[in-house]
Amino acid sequence: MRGRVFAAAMTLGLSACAEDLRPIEGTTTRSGTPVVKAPEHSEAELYLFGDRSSCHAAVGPAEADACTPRVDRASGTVSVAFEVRVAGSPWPVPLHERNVTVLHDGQHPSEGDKRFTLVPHDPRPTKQHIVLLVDGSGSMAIIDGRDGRSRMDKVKDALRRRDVVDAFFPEGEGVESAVTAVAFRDGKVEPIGGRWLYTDPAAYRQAVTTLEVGRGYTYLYDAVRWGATTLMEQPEIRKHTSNRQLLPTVIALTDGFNNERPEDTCGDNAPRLQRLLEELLRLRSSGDVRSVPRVYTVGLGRRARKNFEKPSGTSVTPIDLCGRGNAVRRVDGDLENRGVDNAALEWIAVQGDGESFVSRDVDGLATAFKAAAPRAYRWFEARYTVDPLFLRRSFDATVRLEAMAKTEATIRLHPSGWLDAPPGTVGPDGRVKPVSFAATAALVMPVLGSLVALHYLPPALFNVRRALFSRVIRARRR
Amino acid sequence: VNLFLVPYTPMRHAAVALVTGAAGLLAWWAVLATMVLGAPWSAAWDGAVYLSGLAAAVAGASVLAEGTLSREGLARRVGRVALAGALALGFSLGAYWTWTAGVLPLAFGTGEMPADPTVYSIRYRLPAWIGAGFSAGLAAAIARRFQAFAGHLAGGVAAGLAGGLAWHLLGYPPYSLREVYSGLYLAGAGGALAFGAAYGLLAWGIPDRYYAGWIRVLTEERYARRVPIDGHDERPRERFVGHFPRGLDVFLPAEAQVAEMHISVYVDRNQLYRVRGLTLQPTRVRRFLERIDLAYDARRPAPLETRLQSGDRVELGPAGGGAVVEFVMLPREEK
Repeated sequence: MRGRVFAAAMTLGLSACAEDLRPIEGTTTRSGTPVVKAPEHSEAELYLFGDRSSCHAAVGPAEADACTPRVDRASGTVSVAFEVRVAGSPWPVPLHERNVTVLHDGQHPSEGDKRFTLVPHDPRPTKQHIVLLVDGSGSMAIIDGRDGRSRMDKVKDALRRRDVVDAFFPEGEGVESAVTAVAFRDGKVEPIGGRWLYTDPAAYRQAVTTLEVGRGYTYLYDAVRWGATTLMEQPEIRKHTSNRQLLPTVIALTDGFNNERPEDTCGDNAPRLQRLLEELLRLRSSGDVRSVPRVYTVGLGRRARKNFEKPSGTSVTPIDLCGRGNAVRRVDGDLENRGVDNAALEWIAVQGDGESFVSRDVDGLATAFKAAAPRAYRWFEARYTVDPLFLRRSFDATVRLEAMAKTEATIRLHPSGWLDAPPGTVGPDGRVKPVSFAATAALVMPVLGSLVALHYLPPALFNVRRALFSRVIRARRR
Repeated sequence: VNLFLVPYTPMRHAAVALVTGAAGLLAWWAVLATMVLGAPWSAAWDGAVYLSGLAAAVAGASVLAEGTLSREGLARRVGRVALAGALALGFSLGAYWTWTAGVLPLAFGTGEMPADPTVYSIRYRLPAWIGAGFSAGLAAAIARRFQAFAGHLAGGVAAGLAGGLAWHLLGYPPYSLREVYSGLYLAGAGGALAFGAAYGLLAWGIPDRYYAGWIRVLTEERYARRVPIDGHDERPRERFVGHFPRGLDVFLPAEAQVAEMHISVYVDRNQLYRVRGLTLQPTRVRRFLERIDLAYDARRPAPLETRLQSGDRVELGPAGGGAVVEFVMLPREEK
């Protein structure tokens, strides 16, 4: 009985009032208050815009339409907008679709790779600190092609390209960027050009030309660990980056496998990689999210494991890393001749919230370097499409940040169960452009006009019929 | 609505439906405009506002149409419209909440779906539509002092069914049409239009007492001369047509082969019209695909008679040489 009373109260709207639903202007949908889930130790949180007024205040009137949550039941499209905030202030971030998960009532909106569209808005020049870790082991001197250029020469060409330099040193008012470039080999790192920091593009380009190949093994994992932790603690680096709030990004480039001893097998790398991943995980879950570097990996050469798919777990086993039969094979002189350890590179990139690239030419390397220095955006629009049947009741739209900070926000949207505003028009980019309420006149006026016309039709037909069937009859006179 | 624009044809039954349909559509438009501008009510009230607004508008429009047709005084007309609208609003709100908060949880349980006011489902909403139709019928019947009470209620319920079904079918089009259209936008408008139109068609139509039968001369001699059959007191009346110069209602010349007292047309207390042949001279009633001979047969104890329909012609005298009159239903106000 109490349940029925509660249900009655629910339907009477008492609870609905308590939920503080806000009508979304221009639609018949209401939105609830966004609920944010953020880890306790992190100040970063994902903020969902719940209504037009919050959009208006945050992004301005020009883009308030794109920012306002919208449910278009005709096309089945739902769009919500969000921004990342740190300590309550907006934090422009470089995000890709792979960094975000969008859920409709806790489920992926659709199957397949393209589950939603992430549209970045309001680009902001990124204040960044790029840490370039370049493999300086002996294999980088190998000449693969017929052009007579070594692997290291290709790396230099890519790093000196104008578009790459522009990506590392973006222009903009108040934008400061810095690059730390080191060559690693034999467990040691050596700053290129003798300096730890380059803030001038010309000096950086000049320094890149001094990259040299040495002798020894790669110690790739140690280099990544050093770049993500030890380097950041150096007083000179710390002072420069923390004062300017530069976003740190580590780019590790190698042409082979992690290798520390002549007898190393691929399986030996599994526990080493596990330790590195744990270190990166610890790093990501502690401290200010803005000072934790994202780790990108770039492989020069071809993939050693062409069909590798990273297991979902975080523990690394020799079979996961090397594949069946390869765990006991030596790296030096055997596996490294097959190509780049793309499995380890992907593992590191995923754990480091970055991305992994493998390429054999200068263009591919340049693309990877540019992707590691993306533009940041103030806010994002997440758009997905479901069967319109799923929009015939209230639902939760959840946006989860998978990179930088594990945070998510959920907003409950309440489309009216009775009426809908005119459906929007779907643009070529998939965006549903809202249609003004004035468009309803295009439906109402013709219908009303037809009703008026129908009102006049019977008398008109009546008179026409009487005229046609001549109600004037001449009598014959005798 | 103007009775002079509603000829006495079968289409007259749709005249009020056009008005109430338009009223339903405008009610939907007003509710939607309020919601789009920022509804000041909660989601649970969407259906209540929509359906009660619809019922009030449609019941009021029906009473307004009647008042305009019968040329009621402005104050009385406004008063009756306000009464019908207010009663329909109150009744439909009561019916909505009785269903939604009372019967629905009992019938479908207290699960999440029945309790969610945003669920779009005919299963949970059709009774609310029927309740709105019933309320509109009851309110209009009260405003009309319980005239055709059962017809109002039945018409209202049928209108609620029609509105709910239109709302459902437009909102849930068949799969083959979902590529073309899917959504609640047209469903809201279509439901309101169907509700109003069905109500106007079924609950209250223009009654026959608004019209009166006339005899009108069609032949050249005395062309367009016409007389009403009934008076304004709705009592039985009889009119005579012939060439007798005194006392007849319609005089037609004897040269046109019209007898002294050729036919009589009368209306009974049920407002049904009949024509009687009173002479041995040829007398025929003609209508589409039909010819009725009314010439007096001396072997019969009484003259022949037949029902008259608007537009019937009565031929007096030999074919082609006599006179022709027509029977036509015109608004009672016709002078």
